[in-house]
Amino acid sequence: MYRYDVHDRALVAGRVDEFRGQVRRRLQGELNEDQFRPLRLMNGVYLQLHSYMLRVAIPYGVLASHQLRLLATIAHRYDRGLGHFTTRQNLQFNWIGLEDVPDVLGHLARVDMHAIQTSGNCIRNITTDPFAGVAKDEVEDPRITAELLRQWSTFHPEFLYLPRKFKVAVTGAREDRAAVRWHDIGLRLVRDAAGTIGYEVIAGGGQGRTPVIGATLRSFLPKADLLPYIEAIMRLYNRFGRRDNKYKARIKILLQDVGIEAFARMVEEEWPRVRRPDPHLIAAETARLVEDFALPYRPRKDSPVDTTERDLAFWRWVAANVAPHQSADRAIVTLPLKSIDQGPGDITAEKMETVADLADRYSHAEMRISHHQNIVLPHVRWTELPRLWETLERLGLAEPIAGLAPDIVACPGMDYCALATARSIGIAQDISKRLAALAPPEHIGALRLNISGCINACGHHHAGHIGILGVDKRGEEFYQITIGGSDDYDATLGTLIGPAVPAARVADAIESLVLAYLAHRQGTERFLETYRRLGITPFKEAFHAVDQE
Amino acid sequence: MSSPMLSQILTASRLTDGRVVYFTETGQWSEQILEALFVAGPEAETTLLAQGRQGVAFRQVVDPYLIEVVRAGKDDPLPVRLRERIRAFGPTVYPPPRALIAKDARHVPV
Repeated sequence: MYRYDVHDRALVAGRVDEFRGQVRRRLQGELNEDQFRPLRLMNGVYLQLHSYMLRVAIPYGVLASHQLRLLATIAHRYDRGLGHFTTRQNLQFNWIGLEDVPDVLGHLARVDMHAIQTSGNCIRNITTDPFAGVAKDEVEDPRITAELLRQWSTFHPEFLYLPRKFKVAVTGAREDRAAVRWHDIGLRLVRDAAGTIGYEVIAGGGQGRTPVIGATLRSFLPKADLLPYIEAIMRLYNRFGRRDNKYKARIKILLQDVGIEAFARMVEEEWPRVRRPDPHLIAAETARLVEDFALPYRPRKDSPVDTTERDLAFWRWVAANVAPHQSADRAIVTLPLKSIDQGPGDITAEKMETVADLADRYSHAEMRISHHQNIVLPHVRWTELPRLWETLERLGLAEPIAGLAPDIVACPGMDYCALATARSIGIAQDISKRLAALAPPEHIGALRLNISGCINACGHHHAGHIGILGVDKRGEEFYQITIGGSDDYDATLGTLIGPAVPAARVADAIESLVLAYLAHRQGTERFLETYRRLGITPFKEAFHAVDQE
Repeated sequence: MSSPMLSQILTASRLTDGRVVYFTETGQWSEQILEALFVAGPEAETTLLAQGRQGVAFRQVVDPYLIEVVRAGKDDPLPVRLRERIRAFGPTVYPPPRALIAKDARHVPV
């Protein structure tokens, strides 16, 4: 894992001291709320429905066990014993007092954590593949790029007041587990014809009220050109992005106005003018990162997979929650945070401590947070899987659902969020219960359900195979349902299937769509494949039958 | 049957911890909606909003605004809008794992 150096630590400590002073001035009345709001947002502090909310950065979703233990302690001491993992691989505390925030940030700094780049109109926390560095289908570990970008973007003086927030995702694998086409900039590590590794640069993607799938700006960018090229994009956005209307301020709107080809030409003209970083410095830093991110063991090619385990439940779990690893004797294990009792991504302090212990025992003290709001143990020995599974079973973290219908992604919705217009968590629970009664998850197969409590789309509903958007209709909660979205490389935008339904009918509607799929699928066809083969008509018919009941 | 009586109460977030509070008959800010001062009519609402502005000036609260409530049962106020009911009574999906006020847990070592 990457470890902070003296510069990182000084930077974070300085920020804590600065914010402590700003909070004191706010509480003493030297700053009013209008003056203070942008300052607290730069430190991840929002004022939500019930309290202040603190969003803690988990850069590129990599978390160490001692960091998770500290998060558990903060949850115990300063919150109500609960944390919420977000779709941007961060963690939110929902019950934090403003007067406590500087102390909380001080504690976080001691374990190299912070809330920098979790809010405000800056380059936000860089996200990546939760299987980065261990995925079998990987061209190169994307965390090296993500960390370079983190260092380059943190407090970059030119990009602290962008027209709007700016989200970057990086992936190095063939399968897209970072949703790169749904980001302001998506980077995909690829090889050119000569086998040289570089980047496909994708730009202008985003969700929210104007969903746009990012387009390829450059199909191959040499690695050495990354920082100046990205800086050129940022400069153009900073200069030409709209500041008069926050709903039209994201780079996707600029790219729609200018056109992707014209914007690509503008970047080509701009980036030679950007001062190139010292190549020796970049090379040295890259070498350090390669070392930091290297596997903490020697990868093996032979596979000592233990097949003596005979319990069917174990193999159901392996099929759903265990992914192949670069080292044949290891596995990547997903711990779904999708208990029916709690919201997607929610985790109690007690569970945080237990998972940290499991990471110590089975995964070299390392975890990942996925944008599907789950925890990943990236380094588990195959021979230890049965014992880990037994422990996870006892903890309620072994549900075999990763990537299946109950693995629902949802924002906190109106139960917590001040922007939300409808609830999300209860809808996720209703759907989970309904689908559990319908069929085993593996029988339904791969199906992504995403729920957002408002048009800001934090639950990524546009990219859900089935997407659900809560809206307010004359004081009542209604839900628009879309179908056919995807966050893979072949990203697609979901299509609205019909009129919005009231909260009480959402589970009926989802069940009707799943039943339509089961009735029409051919062989091992997945939900999205059936939808793409048949189009919307059979699903629309099933939905309307429910709508008119 | 007569329709329930609609009134306005003043709510805000407490500056220090962001908790939901209501302006009371005694001129204080309380976490209990049951203690909220009811008013009706534009003049009384204007006066109540002025109290909110004063709460901001005295650094007690942030973002004060009026909400509509029906007076149910023994005049207990019930916010008309779901969002305000959630603010008043907490998340609807599950109780927080412990009904723990953060300050009660200050013994937890960090």
